[in-house]
Amino acid sequence: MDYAVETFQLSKMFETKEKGRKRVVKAVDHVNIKIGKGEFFGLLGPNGAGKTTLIKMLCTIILPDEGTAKINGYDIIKEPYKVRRSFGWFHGETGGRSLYWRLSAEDNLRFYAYLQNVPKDVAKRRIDALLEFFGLTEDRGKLVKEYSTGMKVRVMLARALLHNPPILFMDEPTIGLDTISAVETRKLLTALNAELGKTIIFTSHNMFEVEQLCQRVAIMRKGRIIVDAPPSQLREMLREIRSVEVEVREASDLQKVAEQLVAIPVVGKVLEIKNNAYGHVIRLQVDNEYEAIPEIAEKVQRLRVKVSAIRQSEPTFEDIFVKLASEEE
Amino acid sequence: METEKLVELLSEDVPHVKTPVHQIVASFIVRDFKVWWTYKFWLTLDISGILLFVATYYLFSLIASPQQIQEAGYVTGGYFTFALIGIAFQQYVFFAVQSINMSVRDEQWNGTMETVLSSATDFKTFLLGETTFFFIICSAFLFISFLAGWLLGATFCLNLASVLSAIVLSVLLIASHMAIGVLSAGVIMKTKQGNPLTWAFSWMTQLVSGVFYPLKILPWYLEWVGKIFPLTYSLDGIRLCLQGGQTLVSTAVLSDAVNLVLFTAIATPVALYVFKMGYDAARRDGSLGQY
Repeated sequence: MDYAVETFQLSKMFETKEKGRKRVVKAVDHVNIKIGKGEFFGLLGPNGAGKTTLIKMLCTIILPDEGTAKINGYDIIKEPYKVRRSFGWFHGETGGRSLYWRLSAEDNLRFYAYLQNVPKDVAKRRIDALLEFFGLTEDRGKLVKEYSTGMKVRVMLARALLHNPPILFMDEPTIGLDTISAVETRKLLTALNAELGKTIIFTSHNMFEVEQLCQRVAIMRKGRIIVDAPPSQLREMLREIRSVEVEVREASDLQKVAEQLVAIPVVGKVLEIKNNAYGHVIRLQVDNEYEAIPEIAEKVQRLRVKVSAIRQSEPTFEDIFVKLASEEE
Repeated sequence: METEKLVELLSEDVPHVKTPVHQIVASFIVRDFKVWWTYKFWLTLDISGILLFVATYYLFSLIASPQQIQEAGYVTGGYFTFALIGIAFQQYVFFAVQSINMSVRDEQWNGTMETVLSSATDFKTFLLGETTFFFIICSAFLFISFLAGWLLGATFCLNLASVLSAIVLSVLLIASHMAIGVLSAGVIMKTKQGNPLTWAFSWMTQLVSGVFYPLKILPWYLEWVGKIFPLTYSLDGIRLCLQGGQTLVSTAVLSDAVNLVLFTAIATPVALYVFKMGYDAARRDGSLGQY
């Protein structure tokens, strides 16, 4: 099988100093992943898990200490320029810093088109189309420093697509975007994947997006891949996350109610407290929902809390992520 | 635009042709000019600084004796023309050593370094692109300096052959100093600091390369130190052409040119090697985009 991304024991260590003493941190620890051509692949992990280091190594910006990787069949150490022609990289964590702020969006894109060997006439057509798609046509001549964060993010997205690479590294592509732009971006990434067969390596802290878009998800922790599976399989693996939702209509101190409920022996911890149309919802992890529900009902009655419903709830993708990412602590 | 239309446009089959280096370098020049143009205040200060410099040395020339200048072979124009050529061409040293570093630092500071270096453009073209604009600006400043000097009474001994010879020497001056700039940029890539070193280099060249006074008036050991710096040969050759009317055919000018060619031929591969080392070291410790 042809792989878009293939890593072989890929490792990276960094030296840090703590109280004057040197310490070696394994940022990426013998990672082996294979991402097929045309796959929509999610890479998740808490901050500091090693996602960005891994992506930067694949983008040839950081040299590995051990192992290697192939991008579009090219070795990241031996053939960096061939690798660089093969991908588009969006790094959302920079918040628009990776643009020339004293150039316009159009000038930024034109400059980058030259660097990526896009012929002049093709570049012009693509720049026009991308600016129109991302709603920047009217502001195309304005200096980027006058743009909002969302507009800068859109220019960076346009830049990643400009040379039409087969592989896209999308590091938090919807960060800083308004809802409509985020929806449009997700739609575009889906279309690029489905219709043009682009391989997309996607990172996000928005679990809804990951679940909606990715065909396969890897979770990193402390530089290692701890899970690599389709979202549906992750759900299966997490059946043991049992939870109960308590819909509270009125309570003087919601936090206190939650604390009282956690004191029930069959209740684990508070997973989430959120608002909905009827009031507030407290989601609780439980050992057994059939035993927990009557006990919770009795407790809320004693506490004189007005409750409209107590029901079993499905674990969200976020619960799955939190559980897996913290499991190896 | 609809997603479908954009996807259709991106599906267009485009043959892969490498963009010619001159086009990429031109795009760097356009980028840098546009960025530079937005700093109107700096621009005004830069030009005012040159004019003030020229005026200062005009005043110096009123009290300096032209005898030693003429003894060195620079027969026309006296001290003012001598100093004018010195300070005008010394700008290249400043630009080579300071500006390339500033340019690399700006790319790191602005967060654009990683994006540019993860593109299909190789690091040699990147360096050429980063440096070319500064030499164009420097040449423009040189022209302004000469124009202002001429208005204040600087005189030259000009003929076509001497002007062409001076241009050849100027190109060699740029090439040799580009190598120095690339070398110091390579050090900065790794160390993330270089200003004290580059400032020292700039000041040293001013003191011992004959920018303000002929090398012959220095003690012998400083005269020898001056011979390490390519600016010494550049200034001597250019002055012999513009103040002495000599050309590349004369032994003294040809000797300066040969020294510059040798320096460039040795320094360029060394500079590229040091830059590559610095670049790879920054990639190894993950600090390519950091300053």
